[in-house]
Amino acid sequence: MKRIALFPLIVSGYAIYYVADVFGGKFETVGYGFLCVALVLLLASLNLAQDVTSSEPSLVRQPATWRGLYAFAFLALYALGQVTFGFAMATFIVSAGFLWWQGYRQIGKLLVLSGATTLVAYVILIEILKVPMPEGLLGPGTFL
Amino acid sequence: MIWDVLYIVFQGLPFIAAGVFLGVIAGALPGFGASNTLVILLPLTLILPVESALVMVIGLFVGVRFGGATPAILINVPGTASGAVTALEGYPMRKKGQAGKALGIALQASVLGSAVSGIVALIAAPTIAQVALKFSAPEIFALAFFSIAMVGQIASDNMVKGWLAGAGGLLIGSIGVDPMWGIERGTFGFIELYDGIPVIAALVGLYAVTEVIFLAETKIKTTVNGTPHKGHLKELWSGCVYVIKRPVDLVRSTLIGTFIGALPGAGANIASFISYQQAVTFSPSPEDQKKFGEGNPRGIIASEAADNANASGALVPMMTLGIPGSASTAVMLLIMTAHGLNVGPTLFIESPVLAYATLAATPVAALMLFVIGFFGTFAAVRLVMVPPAILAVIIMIFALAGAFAARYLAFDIGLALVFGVIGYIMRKEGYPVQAMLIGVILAPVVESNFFIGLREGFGSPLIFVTRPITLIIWGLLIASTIFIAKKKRSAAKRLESS
Repeated sequence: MKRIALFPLIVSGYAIYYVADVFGGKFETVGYGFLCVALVLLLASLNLAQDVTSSEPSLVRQPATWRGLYAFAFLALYALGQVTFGFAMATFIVSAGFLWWQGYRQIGKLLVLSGATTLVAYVILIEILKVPMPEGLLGPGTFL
Repeated sequence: MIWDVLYIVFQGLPFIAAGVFLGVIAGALPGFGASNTLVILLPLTLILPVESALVMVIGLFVGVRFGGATPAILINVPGTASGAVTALEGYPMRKKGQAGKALGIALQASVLGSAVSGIVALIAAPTIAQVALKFSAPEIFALAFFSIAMVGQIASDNMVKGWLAGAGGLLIGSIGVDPMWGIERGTFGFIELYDGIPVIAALVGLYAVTEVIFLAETKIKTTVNGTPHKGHLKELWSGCVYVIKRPVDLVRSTLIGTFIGALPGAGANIASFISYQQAVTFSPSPEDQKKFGEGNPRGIIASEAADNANASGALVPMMTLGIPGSASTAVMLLIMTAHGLNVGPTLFIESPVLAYATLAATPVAALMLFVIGFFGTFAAVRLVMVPPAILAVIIMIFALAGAFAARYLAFDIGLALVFGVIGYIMRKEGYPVQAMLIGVILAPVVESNFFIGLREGFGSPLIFVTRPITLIIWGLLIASTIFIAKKKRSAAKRLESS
C-alpha cells in the first residue's frame, strides 16, 4: 500500500479543530482563521491527491526510526525531569543517560562528560545569565 | 549621528569578535549552523544590551559562513547547507594536499564577500526603508503573503508542500486571543497560549529539537587528515593572495550573493549554487572549466563569497520591511522584537543609530574574521571531530533553556517538544520547516493588515488587488511561481535523462 505523508493529515486535523473551536464567531474574530483553514485544507487536499496519483511508491523521503523515537523520549524525560528534579539534576541524569545510549560505556568518562556539561550549563545559564531555570518540585536548592 | 553609530560599533568590538569566533566554531560543527547557534545563544542575547546583542549576532552571521567551509574542505561534510558547494572543490583540493590553501581561499573570499556586501546593504537599506514607508496595510499584507509563498516554493522540491507548510504556519500563528474582540482561538484551553504562540518555542522545536533527533539518528565517524602542520599558515596565506588576484570572480559572486540574499526564501545554498554555476559558465578557458569538480580554487571563491554576501543581503528586507527571508534572519527579528524594537520601515526613523550600527557592524566583522578565521582554523579543524552525541547533548540543554528563558514558563519547553515532533515529521517528509516558521512569525502582520486593509476598502477585498504596488507584488508572485515551476521541471527532466 502506498505510504501517505503524515504532515497534511496533522495540519488538516488541527485546522478542523480550529474551525470547530471558533465556529459561529464574529468575522473580525474568526474570519482570518477561517481563511487560513480554507487555504490549509485546499493545499492539504492537493498534496494528498499528488501523493495518491504519484507513480512513486512512497512520498515519504526517509522513514522515522526507532532511534529518533528514543531521542525524543530523552528530550521528553529531560523536560519532565526539569520540572520534577530541577534543571541541574535533570541535566546530569539525562545527559549521562543519553551518552550511555549513544555508546559511551566507560562509567568514568561518562560521569566526567555529563558532570562537566552540567557544570558548564549551570554556570552559564544560572550564574552568568541569571536565567531562573526550573528548580523542581522539591524546591530551590535541593539539587543545586 | 555618524559618531553615535561609530561609538556603538567601537563599543561593540568585543561582542563582534565574540560573535565571529563563536560563528567560526559553530559553523565548523556539522549540525550547529547559524540558526541553531542563535537559538542556543538566545538567553544571552535577551540579557545583553540590545546594541551589543545585535552586533554580536552580526559577527556570528559572518563567522558561521566561513566556519561551514572547514568541515566541507577537510572531511567533505558541510557544516552549513551552502558548504556543500564549497565541498565540491575544497575536498578534492584537500585530497591533493592543498587543505591550507583551500581554507585560505575560503577565508579571504568570505572576508571580502561580507565586507563588500555589508557596504552595499548599508547604502541600500535606508533607501528601501524610505520607499517602504509609503506602504499601507494592503501593500504590507501582500508583501508578507508574497514572502511566505516565495519561501515555501523555493525551499521545497514541491511547491504545494512548501505552500502547505507556510499556510500551516499562518494558521498556527493565529492561535490565541484575536486582536479585535479578545476571543480565544485554537488554544486547546491552554491559558499560556492566549498571548499567541511563543515564537521562540516554535523556533527551538522546529530547528533545535529536530536537530537533536537527527544527530541521535545518524552516526557520523570523522577522521581528519588535513590537520594543521608547520606550513599551514603559509598555505593559508597563499590562498588569501590567490583570491586578491581574481577580482572579477570575487565581485560577480558577491553581487550574486547580495542580490539573492535580499529575496525571501532564496537562502545561502541557492546563492552559492548559482554563483558556482556562473563561475563554471564564465570560466576563462576550456582547460579551467574541466578542472571544476576536481579541485578548482575558483569554485571556492564563487561559493564562499556568495555565501557570505548572502548574509548581508538577507538583512536588508528584514530590517527595512520586517520580513525575514531566512531562518537565521527570523531569529534576528525575534531578538530585535524581544528588545522592544519596531522592526520594519520605521526602524530607520525610530532607532536610526541602532539600525545603521547593526548594518555597519558587517564590514567590521568581516575584517575581524580575517584575523580570527586565520588562527581559528586551527581550533576549527579539531572541532570537526567532536562526536555528534556530545553536540546533541549541548544543543538539547541550551535550546530547551532558550525556550524557557523567553517567558520563564516550563510550558514553553513542552511546546518546543510538540514543535519538535512537527518539525521532525516535516523534515522526514520533505516539507520546509523555514516556511512554517516564517508563517508563524508573519501571521500577526498578515492578520492585522488584512483587517486594516478591509476597513480602508470599506469592507471590499478588492483593495488588496487593485492598488498599483499590490498589483506589482501579486504579479511578481505569479511570475516567480511560473518561473520556478519551469526551472524545477527542466531540472527534473535533466536528472531523468542523465
